[in-house]
Amino acid sequence: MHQFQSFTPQTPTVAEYAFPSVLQFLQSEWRRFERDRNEWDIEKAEMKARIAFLEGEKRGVDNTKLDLMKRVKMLEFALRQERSKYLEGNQGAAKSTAGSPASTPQVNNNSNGMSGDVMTNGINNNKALNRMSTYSAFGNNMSQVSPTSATSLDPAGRAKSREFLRICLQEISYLTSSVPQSVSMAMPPVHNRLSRHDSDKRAAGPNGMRGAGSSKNRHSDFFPANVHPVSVPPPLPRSNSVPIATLQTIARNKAAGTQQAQESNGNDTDVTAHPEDDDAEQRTLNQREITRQLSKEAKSIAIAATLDADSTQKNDIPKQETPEVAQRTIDEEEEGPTGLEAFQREEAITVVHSPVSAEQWRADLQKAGQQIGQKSKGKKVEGNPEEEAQLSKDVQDKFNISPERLNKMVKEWDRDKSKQDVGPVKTPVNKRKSKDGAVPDELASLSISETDVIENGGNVKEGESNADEPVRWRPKVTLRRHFDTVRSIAFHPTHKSLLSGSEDGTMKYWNLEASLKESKRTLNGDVEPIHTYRGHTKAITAVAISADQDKCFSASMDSTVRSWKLVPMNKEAFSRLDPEIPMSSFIGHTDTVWDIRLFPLSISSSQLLASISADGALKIWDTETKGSPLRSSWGYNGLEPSEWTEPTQAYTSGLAKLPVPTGLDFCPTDLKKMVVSYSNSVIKLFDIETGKEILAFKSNDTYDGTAKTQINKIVCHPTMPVVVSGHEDRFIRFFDINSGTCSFSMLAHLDSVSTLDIDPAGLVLCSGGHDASVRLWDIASSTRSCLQEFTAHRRKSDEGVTTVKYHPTLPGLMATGGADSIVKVYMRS
Amino acid sequence: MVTDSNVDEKTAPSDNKPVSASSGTPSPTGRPQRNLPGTKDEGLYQWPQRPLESIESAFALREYLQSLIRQDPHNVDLIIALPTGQDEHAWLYEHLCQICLELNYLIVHLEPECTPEVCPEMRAEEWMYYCATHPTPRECCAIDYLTHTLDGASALLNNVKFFPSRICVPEGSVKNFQSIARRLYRIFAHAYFHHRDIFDAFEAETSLYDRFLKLSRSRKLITDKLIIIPSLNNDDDSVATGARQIMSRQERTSCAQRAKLFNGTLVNI
Repeated sequence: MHQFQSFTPQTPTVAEYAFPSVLQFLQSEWRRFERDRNEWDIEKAEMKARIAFLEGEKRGVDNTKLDLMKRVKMLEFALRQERSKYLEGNQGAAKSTAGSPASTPQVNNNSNGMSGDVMTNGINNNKALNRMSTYSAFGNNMSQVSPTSATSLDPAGRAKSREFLRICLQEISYLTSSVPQSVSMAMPPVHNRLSRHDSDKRAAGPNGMRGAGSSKNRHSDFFPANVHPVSVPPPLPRSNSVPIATLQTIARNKAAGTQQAQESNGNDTDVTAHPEDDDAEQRTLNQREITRQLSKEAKSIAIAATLDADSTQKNDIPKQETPEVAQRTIDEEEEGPTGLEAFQREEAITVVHSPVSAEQWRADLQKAGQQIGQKSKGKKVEGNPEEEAQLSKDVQDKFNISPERLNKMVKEWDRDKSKQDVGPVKTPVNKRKSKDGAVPDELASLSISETDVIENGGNVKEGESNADEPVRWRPKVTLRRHFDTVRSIAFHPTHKSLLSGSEDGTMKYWNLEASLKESKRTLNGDVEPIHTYRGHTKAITAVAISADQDKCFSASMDSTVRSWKLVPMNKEAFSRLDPEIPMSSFIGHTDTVWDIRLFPLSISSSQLLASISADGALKIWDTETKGSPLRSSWGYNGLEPSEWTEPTQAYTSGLAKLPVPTGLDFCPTDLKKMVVSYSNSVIKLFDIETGKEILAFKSNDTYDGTAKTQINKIVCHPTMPVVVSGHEDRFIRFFDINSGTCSFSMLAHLDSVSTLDIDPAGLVLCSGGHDASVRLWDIASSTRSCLQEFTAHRRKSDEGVTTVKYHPTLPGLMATGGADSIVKVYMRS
Repeated sequence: MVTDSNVDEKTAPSDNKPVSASSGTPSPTGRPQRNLPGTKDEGLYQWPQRPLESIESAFALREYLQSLIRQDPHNVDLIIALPTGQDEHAWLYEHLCQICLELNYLIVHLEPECTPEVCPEMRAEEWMYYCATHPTPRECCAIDYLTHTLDGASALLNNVKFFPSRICVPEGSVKNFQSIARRLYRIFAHAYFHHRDIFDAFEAETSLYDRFLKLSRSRKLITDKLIIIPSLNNDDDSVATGARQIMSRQERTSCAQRAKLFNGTLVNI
């Protein structure tokens, strides 16, 4: 460029305006301008980025400021509150009549909860609060008197209140942190939250909430998987005002050993009662009780304060009086789970028409969860699983990596990326290729060895990224009584018992109560089934338990579905045959019945059962009716009105030529619908009542026309409108029920995926494959990382694990069945 | 992959377990040998029979046996013939397991007819049996006896203490085969003498008794003295005539003693 600049002034003297040189000059100039413009653009972009950064910083600072302001206001308020307490207490102790008339109501109403000297002690121990005491002369007043009044407290009580104040402060700071307001409403009590943070966040969810659940309120304990862990509500006691009850439990814990009769009363009765007994003397006598009430009220104040955090906080006293009441109304309005649970308790029948408020709540939570998920995802491209699959395939071909290994790599990389949020795309993968030498070793450890691999099964798991993951499933009981492949297992909804159906044509019912209690692993111990159900003339393909009816069901290759009486848990192994046990058989299918599913709820006197068969039909049976049990039946194209009454011969024979159902599930999120997968990999959504096809999922993109890509199993997520499908081509795919599009796809096993189950909390997906391994996937996270992998069963004729099942209500219990004729029961350590 | 023809000549010296690390690759035959959900009846188990040597699984013997039975259940001699290079007792073990499995279906057929009212005692012809699955042997009704015996056999055969491996059977456990076989025989005997039509129909379908008898005789599981069912031919008429030749070799009293004696030994196992 300098050449040309120096060249330009010479042009007049030379006076040679040769066309090429002019052209050259113009071109060079143009290029220069272009370059400059590029530079400006870059600069501009940089500036923009800088601006954005600074804006973000400012926003962050603003948030902190807001937080601090909230906290200051809260502390101000607490101080004011406590001062009035002190004043009142002073009055009471001195029996002074000098109390100002204006302050009397305030005193009366608040004194019951607050004891001035207790609070003072707490404050003196807290530097942060000390700063506030300069606000008014009251502070001096207080500090003068506090030593004397403090002596009236026994040391134990003081320690207790100090402890409580500490927790209270934690609570306040927690509440004022950036958690969304609506979510913070459902905040777990302190001790719960702490413990939850300590333990694994994924595991704590199901642990906490499934305590007293029954099969019926399986839907009440739904928590969208994507939501931040802290939003998980506490274990809900069976009471309408749940948060208050939990507050009471806290208070009870803090005032250990001072249980009194009044304690069991609701908080609002306390509020109404105290204006009557405003005798201060009695209150000073009942100091323990006051301490307890203090804890209650301070707690509710803390919550109320967050609610009003945006307001000016000039809290007039009447408003303070009824924090509980306000809180309760808000609870009822906003807290979905509570509302739903209460709803279900009162009229379980109508639950079918899922209450709107709960849906909204769910939608909100999902939205929140998605936002969080997107944040953590960073720049990760979402919604193009094909591209990912293609990429992975390419890499796989290029470096001859096993699919499993590749899958691991990709997942690790995803995790890394989400941590760093930036980074070149290709490098991590390329780096990892150098580790290829380790691949055969890992493969070897994954494959089936002759000896029972259970012993070291836990070691095979993908440990590196989950080092801080204490939760691990360990085999606890092994059930060996079947003579052939175990096809299906079902847990009793509440008891520790299990039903297993096998290809040997028998179904066995096992009582696990005793064997699970034993501290020692009873892997080789002999657990005798309490009953062996015989009746099918061919292999059993599926089993189910209905606890409400005290029945169990089995489907078989002999084209029938049978119902049986569930034998009592205390039945002896070799007792007399009960002729009542076989109840009825549902005959109608003309080919192997491949799966059955009980409707999640039993409605008064009817319990629906859906069955799919290789004859192409899906049939819905009413298992309680006295008359004909068949409710409806439809094939690939759904139910046509003409077919409703009398399925013609032509219809049934035509049905067999259409794609055949391979899997089914009811949608827990919308109980009017069910999903069915077909042998051409199409998943369809049907209306249960009408049999009409609502939606055909775009799930057959990967179908190549043979059974090698068919769907083997589908399950619905318990709380979200998501269907998970396990494919013969080793993939697990996630579909959105509303749109029918594939939202996630992952290569999950070394061989075809044979079975799936989602834990009742909806956080972990368990998959079993014909590669004999069981894998647990963290579906709450966007990366869907593998939490644990273990070899569960040995292969027989190209089959490995055939069924996995979580216990529907008891956390930490799971079972698998495999081609090696064995059922294994696992407990979470 | 080796073809069927040259497989028989292949000597597999004591390689009972050809299982090496079998990764997730499908079988060499191309189609995985599994019944996918949605498979129609005619497609179930429809995979080519593999030679035993090429089955890479811990259950090679069982798979091989089941495929033989599926191919032709009436070709009993082929089914019970010991495959080349296999352990005699392991083969026997698989056979007994398979017989127990199929006996389940016989009981399913017997159940509607053999009720406690119809058969209050477990009898076969002139014999009466006590049920040894209880702490003290007991007179169970026939259907209870049948199910208890089958459950007990399944408990014994699936007991890892006696049968820890499918490759070889410990010497001490071999004697269990005899007691199992002796008791399974009574199931057949009861069906034969008291529910003859069911027995015949079942036998025509599965040839299970034929297989069981030939196996037991060739392996000396049951002494000839105990065999009370007259020999069966495939011809139905001769079976019917044979049924009339009721053999009453034992006195009833001695029979009861014998039953108790069995039970005593079995309980001690």
